[in-house]
Amino acid sequence: MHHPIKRIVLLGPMGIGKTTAIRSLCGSLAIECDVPNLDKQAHAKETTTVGLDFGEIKLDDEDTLQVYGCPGQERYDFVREWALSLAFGAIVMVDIHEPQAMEQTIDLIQQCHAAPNIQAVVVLIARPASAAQQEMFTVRLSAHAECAVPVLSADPRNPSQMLDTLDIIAAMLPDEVQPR
Amino acid sequence: MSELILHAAHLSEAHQLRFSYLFEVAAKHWRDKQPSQTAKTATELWVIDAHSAPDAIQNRSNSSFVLLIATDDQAQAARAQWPDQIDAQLPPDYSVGRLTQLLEHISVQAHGKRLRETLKTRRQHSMTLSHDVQVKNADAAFLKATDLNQPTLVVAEPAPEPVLEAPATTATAPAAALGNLPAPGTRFRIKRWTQLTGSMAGQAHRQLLAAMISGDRGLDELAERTQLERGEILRVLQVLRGKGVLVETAAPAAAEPVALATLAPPATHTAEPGPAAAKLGLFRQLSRWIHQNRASDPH
Repeated sequence: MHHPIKRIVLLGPMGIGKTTAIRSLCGSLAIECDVPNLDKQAHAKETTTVGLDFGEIKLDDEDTLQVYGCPGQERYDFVREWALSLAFGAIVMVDIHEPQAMEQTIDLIQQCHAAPNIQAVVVLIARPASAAQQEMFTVRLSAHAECAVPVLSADPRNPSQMLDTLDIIAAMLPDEVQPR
Repeated sequence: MSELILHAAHLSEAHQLRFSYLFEVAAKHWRDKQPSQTAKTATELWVIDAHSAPDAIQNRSNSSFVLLIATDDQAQAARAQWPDQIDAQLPPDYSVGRLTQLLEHISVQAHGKRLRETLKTRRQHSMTLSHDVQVKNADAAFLKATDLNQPTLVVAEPAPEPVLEAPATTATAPAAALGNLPAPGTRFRIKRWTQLTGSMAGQAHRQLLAAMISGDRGLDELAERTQLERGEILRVLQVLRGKGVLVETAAPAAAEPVALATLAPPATHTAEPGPAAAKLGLFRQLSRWIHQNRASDPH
């Protein structure tokens, strides 16, 4: 019996914590594609992802959920497009204190909705923010087309909080979704 | 232009600074948007919190509006204690955008109270009334606490959606005003995400919102997906209705509303796949895996 592969992708700017989030969700079943970061002007982190970070979650004996982390740099747009075309769900990670946060988040959400199989998109505020800041970001975001999506808050390093995020994606799915 | 007479001295100290700052910004934002017109009768607005509610509600005039700053739980308790006395509510962490929307909502309501028939006639002819707010008599305590030298929120806040905070139902919705039970078969959806507060800030409540933002869901489905009691789901629906984000779609032939006391727990047969669906759907697979991992997670 054929079991289609199920995939979700993590999107967001460089340094937001996509690799860390995959490690939190998948533990030892995570493979990282980080190399030394040569673009220290864009971000001070020591390493950055150039391929797709990848992790697996064994849902049961037969099915596996694959989690991809897309590189954040614009020049890897084609990787993001390819990963989105295979996924049923997406987590858009954001630091709402960054000046471009709203614009980038809207762009990524709209890219998600343009993908053929995406059924659930959530925004994850991955840096500490007050309840008022989160609410303000949520209201502003939802004023844009296709951006009425859940806006959650979690620390990518915290497995429990990342499980909560995945739980919200699960709650959005039709019961018998069959991703290709 | 209508004037706004503000009574806000009843607010506790914890709420004063935020309100004074955000109100000035919201009122300026509102004023700047509206053209000046012939003066109308002033609107009185009483801003209260859970602590000051008893005194303020007793002292206010009948024609004034009451804005309660409180958590959803506190607001529900206040509304139960003083039915029809609280015109609007904001959570303690409200934004300037929501306050601006609320001023607009109150302004519209004020016109509605005074000019109900005229407004009705104008609406029938697709005409709109212009509203404006001027602070006629802000309490001195708030003016002292106001710091208009902080520019950030004015820039950051979006243009408010005019009807966002107005309790709204769609043309297809059943009779589902506050306090009423939905007709069997009614399906629910939310127009946008919203952050719930107090006892509604938990993961199960976020699941409930997520289920409703991704499609129209019936009560059974919501109960199954969230493991919340139906009474609690109805309570959340009522809050969402009050926030103006809930869209309710009636079943083709709505029957009598089901009494809350007779609502059965989530039907177990809907939660288990039948023989023909032995393979679990992704939602159930993910939910089961998350549940197992949460149970083994030491955090």
